[in-house]
Amino acid sequence: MRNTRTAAFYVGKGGVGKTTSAAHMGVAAAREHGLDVVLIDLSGTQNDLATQFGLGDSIEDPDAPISAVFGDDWDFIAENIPDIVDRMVYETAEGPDLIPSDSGLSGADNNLASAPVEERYLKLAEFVETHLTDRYDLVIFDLPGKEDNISLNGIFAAEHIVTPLCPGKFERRQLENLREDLESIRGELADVLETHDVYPHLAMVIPTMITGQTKQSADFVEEIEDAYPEAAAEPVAKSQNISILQGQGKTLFAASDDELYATGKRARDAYRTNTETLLEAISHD
Amino acid sequence: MTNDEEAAEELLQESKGKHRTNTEAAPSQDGEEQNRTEAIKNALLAIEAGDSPENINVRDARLKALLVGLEEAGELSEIAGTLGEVLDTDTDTSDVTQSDVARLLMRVGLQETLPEVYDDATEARRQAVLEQTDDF
Repeated sequence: MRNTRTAAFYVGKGGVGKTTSAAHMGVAAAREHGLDVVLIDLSGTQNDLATQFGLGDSIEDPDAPISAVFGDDWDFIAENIPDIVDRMVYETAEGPDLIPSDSGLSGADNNLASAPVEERYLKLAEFVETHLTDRYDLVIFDLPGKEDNISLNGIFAAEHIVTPLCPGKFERRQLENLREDLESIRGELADVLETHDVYPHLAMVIPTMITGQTKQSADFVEEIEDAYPEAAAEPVAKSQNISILQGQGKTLFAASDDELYATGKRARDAYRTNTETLLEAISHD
Repeated sequence: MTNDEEAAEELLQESKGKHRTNTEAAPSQDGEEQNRTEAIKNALLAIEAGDSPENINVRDARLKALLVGLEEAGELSEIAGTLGEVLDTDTDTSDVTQSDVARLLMRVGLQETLPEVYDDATEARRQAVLEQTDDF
C-alpha cells in the first residue's frame, strides 16, 4: 500500500483558475517528483480537465462513469466488474492519469441527498481507499464550484483543500468566508468527521492571474498573504501562454522555454514551487 | 459473462443517464426533521380538506381534574392570558374553555421543551398555506 496523498481544488466560484491549477500541479507532481498521479474531474459535464489534456473528444461518453461510485449499486458493480478502475482511467500525454466527469454527476448529487448522513459524504473517500491507494501516490480532485453533495464528498476524501483565487472575482467578504465555510462544515458534521477521523482544512490558497504591473494585483496578493499567512502560495502570473496552450490540449510544462513568454515561465515556475510546497504540506510523514 | 456481471454492466451504464430531473428529489438537510415537517404539513392539509379529524382526545384523570378545578375557581381566563404571553400571541381571554387552556399548555410545553419540533410545526403550517395558495 502506498502512502497516497490527496488534495481537492475547491472554491465556490468559477473562472478563478481552479481546473488550470489542478492540471498544472498534477503534471508538476508527476513530471518533477516522479509520482503516480490521478486527476479526478467532478466539476461537471464540461469536462474541462479532459480538454486541458486534449482528450475532450475521446471521453465525451466515458466507458465507466465516475458517477457510479456515488450510487447505491456501486458495491455490486465493483464486485462484478474487476477491471472497473482500468476502464475509468485515461492516460494523458503529460504524466497524470485522468478520470473524467460524466453526465450522471448531477443525478448522483441528487441521489446522495437521500443517503443517510453518516454515509452521504464518504462514498468518494471509500472509493479512493479501496481502489486508488494501491495505484497512485497522489489523487487530485477538481470539484464543482458550489457546495453540493459531490463537492462535500471531495472535501471529505481529500481533507486538504487548495483554493485558487484571482483578483476581481472575489470580494473581501467571500475571502474571509472561505475558512469559515470549512469551519461550519466541520461543525455541522462533527459526529461523522470524528467517527472517521477526517479533518477537512485549507491547505493552500493560490493567487492566480496576477499581473505584475497593476496595483489591483499587488493589493490582492497582499490581502491573501495577510488573511492566510500559513496557506498563501506563490502568486501565479497571468499569461496568454496558458490559454493558448489549453487550446492545444497542453499545460505550460509541455512547452519548451522558447515557446513561452516571460509571464508563461513565471507561471510555470510558480506552479512548480506551489506543487513542492503542497506535497510537503499534505505529506503523511 | 455471468448474470451478475451483466447486471453490473447495465447498472454502470445507467449511472450516466441519471440527471437531476430523473432522480428522486430528496431532503437536503437532516432527513428526520424534513420528514417530520412534511408529515405535519400533510396532516394539516388533510385536516383542512376535511379528510381527518381536528380534535385531540386525551385521557388523563388528574389533568382533567386540574382543568375542572381552574374553571370552578374562575382562573381559566387569567391562565390563558399568561400562556398567550409566553407564546407571544394575542389570546382572547373572554369565554375561555378547558379546551383552550389545554391547547395553550400543550403549545407552551412544546415551545419550551422541544423548540425544534415547534419550529417544524410552524414551518409545516407555512408550507401548507403556501401549497394551498398555489392551488388557486
